[in-house]
Amino acid sequence: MTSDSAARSVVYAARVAVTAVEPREGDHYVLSLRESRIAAAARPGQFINLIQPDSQMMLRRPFSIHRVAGDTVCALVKVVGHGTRVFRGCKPGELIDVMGPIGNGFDIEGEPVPAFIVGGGTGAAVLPFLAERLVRQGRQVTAFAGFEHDVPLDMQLRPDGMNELTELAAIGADSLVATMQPRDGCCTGFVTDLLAERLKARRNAALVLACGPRPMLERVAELAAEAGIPCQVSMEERMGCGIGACAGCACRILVDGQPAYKRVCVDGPVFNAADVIW
Amino acid sequence: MEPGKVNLEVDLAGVKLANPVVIASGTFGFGEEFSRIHDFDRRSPGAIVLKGITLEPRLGNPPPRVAETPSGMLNSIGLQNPGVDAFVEKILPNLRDLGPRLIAIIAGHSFDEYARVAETISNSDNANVLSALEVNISCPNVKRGGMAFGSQPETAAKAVANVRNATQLPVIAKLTPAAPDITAVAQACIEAGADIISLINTLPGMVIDTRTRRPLLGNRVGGLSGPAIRPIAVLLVHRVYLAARETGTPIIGMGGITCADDALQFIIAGASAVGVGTALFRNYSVCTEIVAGLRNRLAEEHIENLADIVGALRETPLH
Ligand SMILES: Cc1cc2nc3c(=O)[nH]c(=O)nc-3n(C[C@H](O)[C@H](O)[C@H](O)COP(=O)(O)OP(=O)(O)OC[C@H]3O[C@@H](n4cnc5c(N)ncnc54)[C@H](O)[C@@H]3O)c2cc1C
Ligand SMILES: Cc1cc2nc3c(=O)[nH]c(=O)nc-3n(C[C@H](O)[C@H](O)[C@H](O)COP(=O)(O)O)c2cc1C
Ligand code: FES
Repeated sequence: MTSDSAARSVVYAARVAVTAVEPREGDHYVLSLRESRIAAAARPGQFINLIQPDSQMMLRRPFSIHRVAGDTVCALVKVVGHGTRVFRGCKPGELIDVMGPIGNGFDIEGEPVPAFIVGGGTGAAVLPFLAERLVRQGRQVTAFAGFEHDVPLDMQLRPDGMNELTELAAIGADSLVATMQPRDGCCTGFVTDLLAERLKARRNAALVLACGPRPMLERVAELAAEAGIPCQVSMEERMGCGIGACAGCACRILVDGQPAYKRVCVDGPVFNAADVIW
Repeated sequence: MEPGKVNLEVDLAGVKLANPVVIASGTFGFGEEFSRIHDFDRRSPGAIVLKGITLEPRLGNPPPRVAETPSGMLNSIGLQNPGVDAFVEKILPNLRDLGPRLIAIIAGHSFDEYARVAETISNSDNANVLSALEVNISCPNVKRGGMAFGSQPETAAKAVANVRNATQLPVIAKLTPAAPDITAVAQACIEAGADIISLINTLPGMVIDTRTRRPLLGNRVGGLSGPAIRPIAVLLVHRVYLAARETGTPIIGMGGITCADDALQFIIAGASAVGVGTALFRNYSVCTEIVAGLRNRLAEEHIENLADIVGALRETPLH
């Protein structure tokens, strides 16, 4: 996961055409770009770093790789400020600068043991691509997706009356959706409460992978530790260069038991949950 | 005139650069990180200033460390670095074949620290990998030393003299725009033995998150860089140029340079070379573009040597 070879792998940079901007619930949208080299090299948990060259943006914006289809790479984005608004306004064919894939991604080598994958808010962006690669390895996958209210991923009703994520169901991965505000077919409350229940029921998970807001990740890490299951978390931090050069994206991590700052952009964004200093 | 015929070579007090573009400290790590990008041209700059080095390893400041601001950014990295011993043993040997000239930059908490870091680097087996030593007396992100030393001529001169006495390498003094009288600081540094002057480092600034009512940066304060500071930098470069012209001390001018035209402003104001930092984050090809842009512009104006327009500012016509 934090192996040097992963951190050193090639990053492609190009000015590419936006192929689609598709609205999702709430303030979300899926941004698609055609860049075959990034699509071919991408691994789940890695990110792309985007900038619209004619905008007021001074720095690139990092987004997890949401989905890869052929030579197309997608990000699932929530509008929060200037940059995410500019990208939402992009027309198909408009050119933007992309760099990627960046970062180590989740370490999913090794025994194909069953995996619990957890995504909160825009952190749920990682679920489709991650689930696809895990299923492809022959793993049993259960996804937990948590949101405030708006669910930016397509859902469908299961026979038991609960919602599941359509894209994950299509590839044979189980999923559950939790929302803080009550919503038909969704569990109400913290996604980590759902996870806690399932971990207690010992639904044979042997690996937990999570992406989302820091408090959620901290709770996931705690639950995994209690259950004695290895856990990896994808961290977020504000970035300068996005390529390992400026030390702007520092995150406190234990290295050989000592506190140190690691770079989220190239040492992460995925870290061993047990090493993160919360 | 053919753009290819334009001579962009620069001689900075004996340090010869293939072109005037210098990558600014802190934005390029230890020289290799941008090479992750598949088509990054590592020979595009004339020189690279490495990440700042202190005597002891430094963890750096708490996150968040960067914030975007209108036409710029704030950073409060806090000189995170592995310390001078690790620098000379583990990092310097790997930099031998990087391409452009390399400059190490020293940051210190105390006058003694500047001297000891300079000495350790200069006495190492790999000192010849470096073309110059820069003295950072302008960092806004540390509590002692840095900008505090660079704000006054006396303390600035003392830090520079300590490095001067500890090395055979050419010495560059990096000035802060926060100094009340930057020309006096520049003159004091030159008298203390600086061969080259570079400016400007970042300006102190703060962003407040109004929801939490806390400063956005973990360190509260950060250094402002990018196009937002460019007019300030051009003016200060020109003032320092006028004040130091008689001594013939070359200037590396920087602050918000994003293209050849920006670079030309600094050159006309009096800089012999130009630094580029923040712009790299947006556009990793910025050095290549500036070099090509300078060639085209000078060819268009039939100027054969870049050196011919250093300080060539014309007076505004009288009306
Ligand atoms: C590794 C990683 C993966 C991410 N994946 C996604 C994703 O899949 N979908 C999604 O919607 N968002 C994701 N984010 C967050 C996303 O980068 C920010 O929401 C976005 O940069 C905000 O830009 P803005 O201009 O709209 O907001 P502004 O607030 O105007 O941005 C100002 C500056 O702050 C930075 N910034 C603001 N919020 C964040 C944040 N949460 N994390 C990092 N930098 C921030 C911006 O990049 C910019 O430099 C991810 C962040 C990281 C670090
Ligand atoms: C992220 C970042 C880190 C920096 N770190 C240093 C540093 O360690 N030492 C230093 O002398 N200047 C440092 N600087 C300042 C730059 O070298 C340069 O003087 C300044 O940013 C102005 O140029 P620019 O606008 O082209 O970035 C840093 C700047 C940035 C953006
Ligand atoms: S953003 Fe520059 S090192 Fe990570």
